[in-house]
Amino acid sequence: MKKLNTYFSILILVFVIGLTSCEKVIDVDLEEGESQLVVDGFITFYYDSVALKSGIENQVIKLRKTAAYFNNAPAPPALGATVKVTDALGRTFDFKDDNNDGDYTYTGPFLLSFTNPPMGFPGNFYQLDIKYNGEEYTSQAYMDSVPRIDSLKFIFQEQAIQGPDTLKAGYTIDQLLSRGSDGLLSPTKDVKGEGTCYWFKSYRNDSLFNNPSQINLAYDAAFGPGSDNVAFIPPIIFNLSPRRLNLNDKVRIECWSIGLPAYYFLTLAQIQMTNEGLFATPPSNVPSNVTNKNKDSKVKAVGWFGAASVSTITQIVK
Amino acid sequence: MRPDFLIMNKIISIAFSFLLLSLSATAQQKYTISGHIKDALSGEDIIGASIFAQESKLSVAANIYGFYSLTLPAGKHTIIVSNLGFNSFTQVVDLDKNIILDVNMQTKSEQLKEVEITSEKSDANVKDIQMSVAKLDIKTIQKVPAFLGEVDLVKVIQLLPGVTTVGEGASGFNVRGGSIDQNLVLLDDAPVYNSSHLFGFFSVFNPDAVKDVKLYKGGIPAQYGGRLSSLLDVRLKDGNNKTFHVDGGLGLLFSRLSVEGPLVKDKSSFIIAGRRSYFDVFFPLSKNKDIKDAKAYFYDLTVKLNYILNEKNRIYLSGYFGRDAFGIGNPEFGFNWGNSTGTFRWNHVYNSKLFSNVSLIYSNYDYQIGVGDDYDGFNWKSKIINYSVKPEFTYYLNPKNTITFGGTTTYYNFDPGKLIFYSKGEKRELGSEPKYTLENSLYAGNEQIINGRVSMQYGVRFSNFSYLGKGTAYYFNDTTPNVRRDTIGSRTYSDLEVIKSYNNIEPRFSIKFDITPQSSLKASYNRTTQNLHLISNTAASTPLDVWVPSTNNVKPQLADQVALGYFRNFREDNMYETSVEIYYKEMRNQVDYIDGANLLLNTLLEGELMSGKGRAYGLELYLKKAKGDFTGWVSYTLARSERLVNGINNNEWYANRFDKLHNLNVVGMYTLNKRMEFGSTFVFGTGTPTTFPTNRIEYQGYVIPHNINGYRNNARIPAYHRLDLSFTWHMKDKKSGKYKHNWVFSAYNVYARKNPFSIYFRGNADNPTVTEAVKFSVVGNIIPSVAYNFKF
Repeated sequence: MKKLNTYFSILILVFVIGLTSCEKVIDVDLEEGESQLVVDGFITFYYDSVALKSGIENQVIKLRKTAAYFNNAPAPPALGATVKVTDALGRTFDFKDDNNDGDYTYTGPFLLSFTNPPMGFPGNFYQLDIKYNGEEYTSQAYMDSVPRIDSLKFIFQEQAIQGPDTLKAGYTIDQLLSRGSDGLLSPTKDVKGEGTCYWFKSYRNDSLFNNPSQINLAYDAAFGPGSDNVAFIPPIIFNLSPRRLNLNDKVRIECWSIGLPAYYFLTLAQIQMTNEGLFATPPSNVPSNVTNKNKDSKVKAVGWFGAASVSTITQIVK
Repeated sequence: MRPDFLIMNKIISIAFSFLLLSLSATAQQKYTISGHIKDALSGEDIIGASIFAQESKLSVAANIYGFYSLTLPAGKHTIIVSNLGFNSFTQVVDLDKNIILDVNMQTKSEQLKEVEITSEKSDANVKDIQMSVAKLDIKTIQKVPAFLGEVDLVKVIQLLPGVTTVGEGASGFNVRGGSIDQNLVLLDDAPVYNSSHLFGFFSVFNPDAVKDVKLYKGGIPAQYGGRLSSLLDVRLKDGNNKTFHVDGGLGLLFSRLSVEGPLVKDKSSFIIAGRRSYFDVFFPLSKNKDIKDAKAYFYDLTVKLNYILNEKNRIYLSGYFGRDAFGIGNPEFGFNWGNSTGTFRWNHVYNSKLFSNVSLIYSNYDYQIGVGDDYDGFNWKSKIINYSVKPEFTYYLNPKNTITFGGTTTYYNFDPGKLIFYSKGEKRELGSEPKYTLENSLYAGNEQIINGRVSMQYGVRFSNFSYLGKGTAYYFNDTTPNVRRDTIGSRTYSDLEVIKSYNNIEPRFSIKFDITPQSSLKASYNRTTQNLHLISNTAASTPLDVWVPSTNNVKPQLADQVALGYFRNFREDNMYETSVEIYYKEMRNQVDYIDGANLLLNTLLEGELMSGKGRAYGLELYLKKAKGDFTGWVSYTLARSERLVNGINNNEWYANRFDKLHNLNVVGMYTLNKRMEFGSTFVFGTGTPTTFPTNRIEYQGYVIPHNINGYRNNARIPAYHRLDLSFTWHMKDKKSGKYKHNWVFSAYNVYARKNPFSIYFRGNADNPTVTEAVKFSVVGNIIPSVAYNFKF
């Protein structure tokens, strides 16, 4: 029996190490292209299961510049830009880079009245206008609704082999739960209406699972049309806990309702960042929704401007 | 009138004038001698044997069913039948009426047969009209060192001039700059939609059941159509109709077993051949629960029966069933795919001059992925099925003209992908609806000997392809190229209503001039069309790729190819065969994809597609030593394959994903003595094109690669080269002499080169904002293997 087990291990070795993939980090000379403006920002609206903090957080739009691919220094900030956001109610919000770090911020005043709601609320529409280096850029975004998440259900998993990092036994998130009007908890469903899209971000002990392969996106409750208004399907729930969790870990889940265009953008970005192995697709540039107002200008911006309503839940693994 | 019709008219009139020319010569009383050529030992039909009438110097080759027909003047004739590997057969016949002469050929001594490289007559490469054709017999295929010791005919095909692959693990092969879906792979006339096991590491053909393999890279005869670049015609053995035989083998990865024998002696025989991988046999021994319950295997079963009803009628039934299956976890995540094909053929000899074969063909490729149950789970399925009727006729008009005509009707059912899922008991469906198409084609061709030095083959194929209801046709706007197109409308069609129809005319022409008895010059032109398109945007084709038909949005692919070749044999016994061929191929309506195309489960898939032009050209050099203790070949191809797509790379020609400028293959086999054989292969190929980023975009803490010009294929991965060796040790026969067995030791990638499959760019696992370039090699080491084969 022991001999056969050894044989089995050898087989696995042959297949996994000797035969299949072999990856090696190598040096490659790359040409460097001209630097471009990068727009990185979401207008947000936070739901929190504990307290409604909507609209009283600063809104930030980061402006950066592209750098050589292998330049691992933080992206150079794009300084001296004029950044304005106009919403569906005709209000204009100025974003200022007071710290000179390229983080253009709206710091208030935050208005909380029915006739003058905060800047971020679901159903609102935003236009971004940027003046930078003699060029004018613009972009639009619409804020969709998000389901509230009231609780997480954990489940203990035996040791498994789905990947070396998940080998050990531990907890995973089994369900997202929302409280209905009857006060009972039931699995969280996608918001009614075709094409509501989400980006789930998972944190363990305040640290984001930030590997590109862990970007967890949903189109309605699944990955495409036809899955409207049901509970999120298992693959999305599995991906909420990319690693096994320990007892007493603090888990935070953020559900960002990002809208369909941003969903496509992030899907493509994820493909480009995880484009490995036998079935890689040909590398291609990700699109951008930031356009130069002067259509004839050869100067283009990259990145994405979005709007998201966000629900969050923080819970200790028990 | 479309230019196509003008060309067609011209061709038809030329064809008729040739026919009339040849008919006018017939005045003297003539009779026909016809029959089947068989292997005396096994009863197998011998394909391509030469039947030669000595006095009149007329000859004909047996067709793929071993049938021949030769019309000669009345009187005495010495008929000589010859085929490499067999003793030639001679008989004097007195023709005063049409006669039937069936010939059973005796095998030459085993020793000699073992070292021959093809079963063709030895000067076929020079004498046949066909150019751009490679024939391989299974004995040769078995001698080439194989990956993990598993004999694989697709891997051997990749060693021929004009045939390339993008790398290990990539399924299929590229012929003269064409993509993998442009090869029509036929297994006993049934199309095989995915010819790979284990992604792309092994092909689905069981070498024990294969009789004959022929690859047409150009000059494709009119009877074949449906794909642009090549035809790979795989013929299965009929099975020995004299005695029972068992063949088998044990390899590291899978084992094989085949049984053949008579059902009714001399009249009917069968062969059944199976293979199965067995690494999963050891799973239950694992302590890990997930591995214990895991599934990972593939198998295939190839079956063929034939029955000789009488001298004029013979039927064949063949089938292939194969599947790859993987499953792991609880709830189990499962993935399986497979082909099944079935062919029923009826050979009928109307009279000594008219031979027919009618085939009924079924082929299916499907896959499914699923997890969970109908409370929480999903099941994703896709398939393509076709049903065909294919009557084919050969009319042996006279020794100078062999006319072929026939047609095919095929009904296709495409299921490009449907996902059914359950979330907490609620059921939802997504994906595209099925598509239905009907393809009808007619062809006629003639193989004509003009005089002792010139012969030609010409023909025309007409095809009609209709995209039918029931279904919804979508209409898209015209937008900036390389941007997703939006629908501007759709229309629902009822059952069998024609949504869109395409007609195409495909002229085919080949000519051969004998320069000397051992050298010839050949030229060919062919047009091919293709109405099935494999939607695949990955470097290696995956089992998830789907086939879609030509529709109102996707036009048929068209190709025109011209080729010129010089063929020369050396030494009287044709010991050395050489050839030089050049070709130029233009392709239209090539399917390409927008940047970031979403190809799976997408109802509006056609909005993600673009159409472009392709061109491929090259030079192929080939030197083969066919006889002796030392055999083998050297092939070198200098080639380009390029694309031009509106909206890509500033509308300039750019290199295809599988473009390789240099390709060198050296194959050598040496028989030391009765017991020991050596084999070696060396391959070299230019690295394939790829796209490298120039910049990085930092976004939400991630680094996205970015190319400032948006150029595709702006770089190349390093060159590929590899050496493989094998050693076969034939064991001494047991007392009876009937049981033969051998051990095959082989080493793949002997000097352990880490050949790059791709180079990609990513963030470091610990810190995604630190970027790195990674070379990915599918095989990064030497792979030794051992296999045991037996036969009795």
